[in-house]
Amino acid sequence: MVDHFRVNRNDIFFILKNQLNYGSLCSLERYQDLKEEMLDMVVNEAITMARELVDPLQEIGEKWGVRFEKGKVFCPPEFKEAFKHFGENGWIGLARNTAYGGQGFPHMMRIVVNDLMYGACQAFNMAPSLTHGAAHLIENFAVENLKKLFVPKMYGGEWAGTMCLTEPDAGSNLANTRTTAYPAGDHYKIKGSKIFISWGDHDLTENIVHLILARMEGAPEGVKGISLFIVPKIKVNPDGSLGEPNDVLCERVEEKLGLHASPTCELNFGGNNGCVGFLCGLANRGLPHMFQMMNAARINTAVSGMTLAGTAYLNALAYAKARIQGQDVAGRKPGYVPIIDHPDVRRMLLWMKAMVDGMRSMIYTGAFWSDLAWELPAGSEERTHYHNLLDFITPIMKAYCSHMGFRVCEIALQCLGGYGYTRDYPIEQYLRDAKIMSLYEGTNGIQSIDLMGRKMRGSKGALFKAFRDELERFCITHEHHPELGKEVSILSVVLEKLTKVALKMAERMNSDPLQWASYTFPALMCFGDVTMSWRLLDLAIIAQGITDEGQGNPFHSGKIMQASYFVGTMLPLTLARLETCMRPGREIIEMSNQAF
Amino acid sequence: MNIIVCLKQVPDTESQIKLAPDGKSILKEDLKWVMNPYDEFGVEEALRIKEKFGGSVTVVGLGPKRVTESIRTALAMGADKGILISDPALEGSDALATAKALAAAVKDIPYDIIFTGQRGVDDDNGIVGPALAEYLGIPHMSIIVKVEVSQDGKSVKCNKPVEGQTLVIESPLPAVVTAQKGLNEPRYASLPGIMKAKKKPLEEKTFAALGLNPSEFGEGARNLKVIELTPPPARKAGKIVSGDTPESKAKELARLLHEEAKVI
Ligand SMILES: Cc1cc2nc3c(=O)[nH]c(=O)nc-3n(C[C@H](O)[C@H](O)[C@H](O)COP(=O)(O)OP(=O)(O)OC[C@H]3O[C@@H](n4cnc5c(N)ncnc54)[C@H](O)[C@@H]3O)c2cc1C
Repeated sequence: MVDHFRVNRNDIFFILKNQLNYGSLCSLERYQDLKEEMLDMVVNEAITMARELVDPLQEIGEKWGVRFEKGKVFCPPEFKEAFKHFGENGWIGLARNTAYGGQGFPHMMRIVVNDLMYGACQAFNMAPSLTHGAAHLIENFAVENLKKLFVPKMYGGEWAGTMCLTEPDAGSNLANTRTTAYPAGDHYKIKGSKIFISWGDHDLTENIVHLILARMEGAPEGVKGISLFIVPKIKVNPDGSLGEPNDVLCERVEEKLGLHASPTCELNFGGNNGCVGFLCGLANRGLPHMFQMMNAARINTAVSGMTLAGTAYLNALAYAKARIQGQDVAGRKPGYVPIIDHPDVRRMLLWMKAMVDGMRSMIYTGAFWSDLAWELPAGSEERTHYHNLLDFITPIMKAYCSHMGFRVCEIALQCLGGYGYTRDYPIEQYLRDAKIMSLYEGTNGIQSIDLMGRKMRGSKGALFKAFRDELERFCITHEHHPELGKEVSILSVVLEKLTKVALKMAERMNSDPLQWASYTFPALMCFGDVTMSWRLLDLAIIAQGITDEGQGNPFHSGKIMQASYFVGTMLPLTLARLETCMRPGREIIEMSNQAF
Repeated sequence: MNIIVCLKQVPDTESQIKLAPDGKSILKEDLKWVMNPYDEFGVEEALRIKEKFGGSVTVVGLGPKRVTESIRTALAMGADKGILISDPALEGSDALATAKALAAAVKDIPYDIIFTGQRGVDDDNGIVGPALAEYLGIPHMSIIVKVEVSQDGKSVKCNKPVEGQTLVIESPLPAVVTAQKGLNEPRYASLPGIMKAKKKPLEEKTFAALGLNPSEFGEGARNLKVIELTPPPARKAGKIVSGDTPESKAKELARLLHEEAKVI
């Protein structure tokens, strides 16, 4: 079946233009040469490409899967073609600097474009996205000759890239990384195994550049002894031509729930003592280097969760309009009616609509902040403010959107009844593909620990304060809004409660770490609900303004109603959930392992 | 080789078309507008000819300000300059008037070949291309799926599908060619293309600048009058023929066609 991917262009532009005024980014120095209409064109072109070029890969990839023969992974030829197109037309390095083959568009455009490409085919878009991530690390941290050697070829799609962190005994806990780098002149000999490496081997490109975490021989134990290395699959001569294979072997590929077209590989480095790697950045600073990029990668994971939810929702909506079943409960129409007329189906649709729009707005807002955080003049107070906001909201976006994105897919499937469970409709695949988002790029459990620990306490509480200030300002500005003031006041009450609970939990982290760690995840979800309400109310107030000027239509009333519905049905639950985070009961900790 | 491509903006197929209260037009406010797909073939063919022979591609659009978006898209694909004919008097013009305005805009720029789409996917008239050729006094070849410009750049050979056959026709240049699906696979705009498009010239021309008389345009001057617009009748649900093998499906299909549809 073709044409799975669905996205509402107006929803996207309403956030970009009416809510964020993204064209204002063009006044930042880095973007002086840009104009809003060029950004619009990028979005429109990305929508076209997502629909025409990438969406068909979703089904092609699912059918083909991953073919693993004699240590080599083979992908559908259409994937190869699409990857080449991405590279040649500038999409891999679209937000990177022109000096190394990037296109110089705002950082947020990468997120917006990924919204479309991941929505069309998650499994495929991981390849260009990982290539970007690996090349970006090299561009940021490696020495000049390595940058010149690798980065333009990667942004140009000639070579691909991967991120190799995970090992059998180093998943969430990278401190336990065992892969080792032995000094050998101007380079290192790499030895070790990595698992679960996405796009670790394939035939889309003639070379693959692995960015791997390894410990230099004799480096200190723990996180402070890990460095980052560039390890090509095929050795590269100084002139950029390819040499001998670099002793990197793909030992197996995983069979898994979803992402069937994305090879998840076990890689062995230096099994024959012939694997050469180059240090990327400073010795023993591998993790901080990696984590500098990780923020961006986490917004990217959020965007995946959201966009799969988005296309699942719109597929369910189309189905609900067409499927005739049952009678109108109030007899408003004679005969059998489309299921969209049933209040219980509408309940699901409205919930999904609000979830998707709220998550998209949250993510685009975070992405917008990332440009301000990175491109406002260094040292300015504003820049620090946006930095703080971005740091704080990143684990919220990552965990909330991946968690809820999966759930939206599940509800979308529910709307189709038994048909949703079949492969005749695309939703079951979205559901399977979406599950990965809560696992990789730091599990959601780890995100909640990061938020309620490091982020709450970060910069003496300045990160949290930036977040709170932003929301408080919104509440104060709008609490007397004629139509939505009531909803804003509810948000204000919940924000106050959230602040109390979060500060209390931050204290508890030292005084009662076990109880603290028992409730970090529900606390993160409360932050998510509140952020969603804020973004949805903001959209609603903008839509109300347009309506007041006599320009309103169902699109705008949809924005208003989804906000009042979300605030009215979700925030009371959030309030209750916040209570539970503070409950004195200690079952989670005290129940013995045998009692489970 | 100087190549001109005429370009129309039409509602995207993703837009929901709603009738205006007058019953004779459609509501235009909430539509997403895109380049007419047949014109995209024209742009692509123009770029390919330019890549082979050198020269320049000029895109001429007509309509309100929003049409610049589609012209910019063509520029991002690789066209060199754009012209927008924009005048309040244009609103409501029919195809002949459109062709007249286009002719006025292109007659003063050098051209060897002009592409239009074989029709707009909105009005389905198929008039503008041939009418433009008439106004310019040059030959036209319509509904073309293959274009071969001669080595010396003086003539063109085109393939036109007719009744399951292919008609091969030749014409001296300059000439108008109207593009049909199958002519080529239009390229996507690249990001470097989008960057470059910004710096390419895009001129706006009013009727005054083109020496046109506004009274010959617009609703009042239409030769073609729209009496009524009605939405197509709702399609009935289709039927999926079941069966375990292609043979049994075919058998069942034959039975249904015979017994229920009574067409065989
Ligand atoms: C399809 C797929 C693609 C992947 N792609 C890549 C890739 O490209 N590159 C790469 O390097 N890795 C990749 N991974 C690996 C992924 O990032 C890890 O699986 C993830 O980091 C979790 O590690 P783990 O599987 O070892 O789980 P574990 O760390 O064993 O975690 C198991 C559970 O315990 C919890 N847990 C662990 N430690 C703690 C703690 N301290 N406190 C509280 N809870 C804790 C976790 O939240 C989780 O629920 C991929 C994985 C998959 C499945």
